[in-house]
Amino acid sequence: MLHCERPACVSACIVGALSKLEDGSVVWDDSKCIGCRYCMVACQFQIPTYDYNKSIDPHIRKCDLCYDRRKDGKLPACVDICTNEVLLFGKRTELLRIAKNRIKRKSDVYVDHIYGEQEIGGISWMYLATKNFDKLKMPTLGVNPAPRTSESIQHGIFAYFVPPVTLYALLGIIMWITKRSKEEDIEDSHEPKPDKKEEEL
Amino acid sequence: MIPTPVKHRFFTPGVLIISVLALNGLVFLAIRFIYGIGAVTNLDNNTPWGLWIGVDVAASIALAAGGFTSAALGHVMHRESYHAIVRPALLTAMLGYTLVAFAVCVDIGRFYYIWHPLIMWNGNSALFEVGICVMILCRFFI
Repeated sequence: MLHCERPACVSACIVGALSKLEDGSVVWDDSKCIGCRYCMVACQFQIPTYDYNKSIDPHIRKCDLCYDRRKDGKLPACVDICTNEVLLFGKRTELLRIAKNRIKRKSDVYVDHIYGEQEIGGISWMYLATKNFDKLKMPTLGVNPAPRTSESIQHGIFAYFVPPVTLYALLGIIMWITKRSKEEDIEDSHEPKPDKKEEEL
Repeated sequence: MIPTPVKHRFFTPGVLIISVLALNGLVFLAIRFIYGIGAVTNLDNNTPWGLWIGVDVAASIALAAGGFTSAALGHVMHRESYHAIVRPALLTAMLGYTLVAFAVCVDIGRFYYIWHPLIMWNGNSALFEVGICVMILCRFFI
């Protein structure tokens, strides 16, 4: 469910097994996933689930908006079976227009809030409700997409690989200087040390 | 210093206690690899990661910090007096990182796909950075 516009799970996945498709759905790739469950940690709605009792080939399971059915031009099963059009499937702009219309038409019934229009940068699965959403145990979230902070840090410390290269260049310079001053101190040169050095970032 | 073999007996009470703990762990390891990680832990869909992540990853990587610092002193700063401890420190560091790799192998669901981050990159992922760092640094230690 939910299918965020800027999904935290897609950003977090170590191997890129989760992806946001053109049609808005967030789907999981069986052939890539390593089963680390970082997507579950990242998700603010606890959407991805995991086969905890399987040793071989556990799957991350989440709604894919019936990917297989939609390939044949059919609606997602839940939308198809619902008799009262409680669930609607369509373009996001179209759904937002319908939702706003419904709120306007029945302002005495609906709370004037479309859950998912703004939340964490927008969600493709949106809700209308007759009660406040925090009473329905829906998390109260800001409008900033969840991956924004982590991605800006991540892109910052590795920006064009300048910071790491600078760090190692600095270490190299220190090595060179200290080695030279050592050689000036002691005239009899001892054999060179193996060239393995590392410093944690 | 000339290396000499240890004279006292190997199975001291401490070693025995740790061996019993390790054997106990092996039993649970076997259960995990037969019935899945849900059989030996209390993980569920709301808490997908356990506290042991803090122990196996953070503690083992902290073990390696000594290796980094000693190597920096000995090989980068060229403080020759520290050379005696650089090798054992590097060995500990390598063991620490290797333990992380083993622990992660037990933890992740599809342990046979552990090599995937090598070729499937997602530069946005913080975990990807951790994985690549562990692999690069392990290679350096070796």
